[in-house]
This record gives sequence, C-alpha cells and structure tokens, in this order.
Amino acid sequence: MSNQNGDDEVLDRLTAGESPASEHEAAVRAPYERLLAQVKAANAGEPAPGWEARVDARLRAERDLERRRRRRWQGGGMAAVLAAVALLIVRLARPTAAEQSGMTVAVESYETGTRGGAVAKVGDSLLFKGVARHHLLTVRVYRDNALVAQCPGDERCRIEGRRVVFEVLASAPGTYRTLFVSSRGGLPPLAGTLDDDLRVVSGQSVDGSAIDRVDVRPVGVSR
Amino acid sequence: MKSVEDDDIREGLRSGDLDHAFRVLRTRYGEDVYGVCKAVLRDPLLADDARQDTFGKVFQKRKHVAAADSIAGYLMKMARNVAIDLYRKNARRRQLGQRHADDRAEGIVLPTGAPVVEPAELAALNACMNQLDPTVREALQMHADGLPWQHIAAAVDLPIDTIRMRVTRCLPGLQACIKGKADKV
Repeated sequence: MSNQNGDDEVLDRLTAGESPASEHEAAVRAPYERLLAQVKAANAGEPAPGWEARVDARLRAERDLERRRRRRWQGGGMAAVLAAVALLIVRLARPTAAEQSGMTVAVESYETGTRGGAVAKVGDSLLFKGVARHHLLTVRVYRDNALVAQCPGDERCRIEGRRVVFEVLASAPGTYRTLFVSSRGGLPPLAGTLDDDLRVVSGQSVDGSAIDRVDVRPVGVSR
Repeated sequence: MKSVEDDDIREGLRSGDLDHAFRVLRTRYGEDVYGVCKAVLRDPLLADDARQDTFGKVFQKRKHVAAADSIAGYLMKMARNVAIDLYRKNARRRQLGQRHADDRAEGIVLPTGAPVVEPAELAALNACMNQLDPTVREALQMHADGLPWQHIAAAVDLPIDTIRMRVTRCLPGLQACIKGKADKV
C-alpha cells in the first residue's frame, strides 16, 4: 500500500513537471515517461507547414464576410426605412375606414347650423362626402326617385382625385337618395330615375352604391 | 479577476487593432489550440482545420474574448468545442463513406526525430487509450503533447487539480493495459 502511495507521489511529481528527486524516483518514473512519449508519438502527425498562413487566410475570410454582412444590413436598414416611409405615406393618403369607397351624408340645419341626423327640413343642406374606388365618378341625388342634382355638373360639387364633397339644398320635402358610381374605364350613361339608373349600374362593371335615405320634411313639421 | 497576461490582446481587440491582436493570439496560442484539437480529433489534418475554425470563431466572438477572465482558457475551451463539432460532422461523413483517406494522407508530415512506435505497440496503445474516459484521454494526449495544465483544464472545463489527478491516476492502469496485464483500464 505504501508502495502504491509512493508511486502515486512519483506520478504526481511527474505530471506536475517536477524533476526526479532521486535515482529511485527516476527509475519509477521511467516507464511512465516512456508511456507519455508513446502517447505523443502515436498522434505525432503534423499538418503541412504554413498553418499560420492558413489561419490568417481564415481570419481574412471572416473579416470579408463580416464586412459584406454589415453592408447588407446597412442596405437592408435603408430599405426598411424607405419601406416604412412609403407605408406612412400610403397610410396618410389612404382614406379613413368611414370614407373608404363609400359615401356619408350629414344634414346641416339652416336654423341652428348643426349637423347630423337622417331627417331634415326644407331649407337644410344635405352634405354628401365620399371616396370613390376609381377616378371617374359621378354622384346623383334623387328626390322620390327623380334626379334633382348631379356631380360633376353642379357648382356646389367639389372633386379632388377620388374624393368628392357635394352639398345639396333640400328645396322640397321628400325622400332624398344618392347614387354614387365610379369606374376605371368609363361611366355608364345615366339619365333616368333612381330605379332606372340602379338597373343600368347593376348591369355594368362599375362600382356603385346607394346610400341610406334622408327624409326632408316641410317647415313646421317637427323632426 | 481578469488575467493581465493577455492585456495586449484585449487592448487590440477593443481598440480595433485586429491585425495586431490576432497575430499575437495566433503566435501565442496557435500551437496549443492545435494540441487541443488534435487530442480530440486524433487526426492532424482535421485538427488543422479545427484550429482554423477556432480562430474564425474567435474573430466572430472577439468581444467575448476580450471580456473573458482568461483569454487562453476561453480559446482552449472554444478549440475543444470546435473540435468536437468537427469530430461529429466527420463521423457522419465517415458513415456516409465520403472520407478520402488517400487525399488526406498526402497532407500529413511526421515531425523529424519523432519516436517510432511499433505497430503492435501502437495498436495496444490505441486500444487502451480508447478504454479511457474521453475527457481523460484527451487531457492525457494534451499533457503528452506538452500543453500546460492551465490550458488543459480550461479545454476540458475542469479544475486543474481535478484533471491532473485523473490523468495521473490513469497512467498505471494504462501502462498495465498496454503490457497486457489487464484487459481494462
């Protein structure tokens, strides 16, 4: 046992890189030194000379790759900024959900100046606002099925691009309705009553919509 | 506590003087990185590839390297991981029969003066080495190749005393195995 412990100590000193303290220790160490030499020799092959150059080449390759990646990121970053700006422009230019390809109407009271409601009195203004799908557009306002105003063709009609604002005076009692039509290729010939025009529109490849009715009552009749 | 011995490398990595930093890194640790890789791969050419991969990876992770407590330790550990990855990849390739041993043999140079191990002895040595725990085997190979224990310990991620003791304790068994006195180490 003590011999074993003695050998352990010798091996500890060997692997610690210490020199043998005696001839006996040198003799005990000798077979293990030979073993370590064999272990080294068994795996002694070396790659072809010039490993430094190979490492340097690898480092250069890594550097180039990093530069290319950085340029790509910078390019990508610029593209992302441009895309974000484009998206912002599109969003700002895009009509709101309420305006999107449709029309709303507001009643402006000539007495109070307030707006709102779907019931009006004679003398009130009906303010139609909308955004068409296409640039060729027309707004036609009917009272009890008969055409009373159309845009373009009326001085109170304003068209900017696909947006239209059309103010119509409710000059007589009745039910007012609007037909809002747009087309890319050309507008269909509309010259009839609301029913006729709806029939024409439904047979054409145009975008058309009729908005909810607005009832205009005679003055003196409560709303 | 960061080791001050590699402050010149840290400074170069931080200041962007990469040419200088990597030249020093390569000169100071290139051989030991190779020793770690060779201990894992037991193939000089693959070990050379792994050394290049290690330095490539060090370049990618240079900020971590600059901040490491011990640059040498970080490098040795990375070298072993790279070598293990390469070993696994190569094992798969070998399974697929894609290895061209003849091509590789041309690139290996035996160092002059290296002791020649008899074929029977070599076979016994390899067989007995294979019976060792892989970590101990790699550490023993690194020690035999002259790597300092500090680097060996960092590579195998064990305390210096622990790995040195394990290697020391395996020697009698390995010796006995080679001599045919024992079947197992």
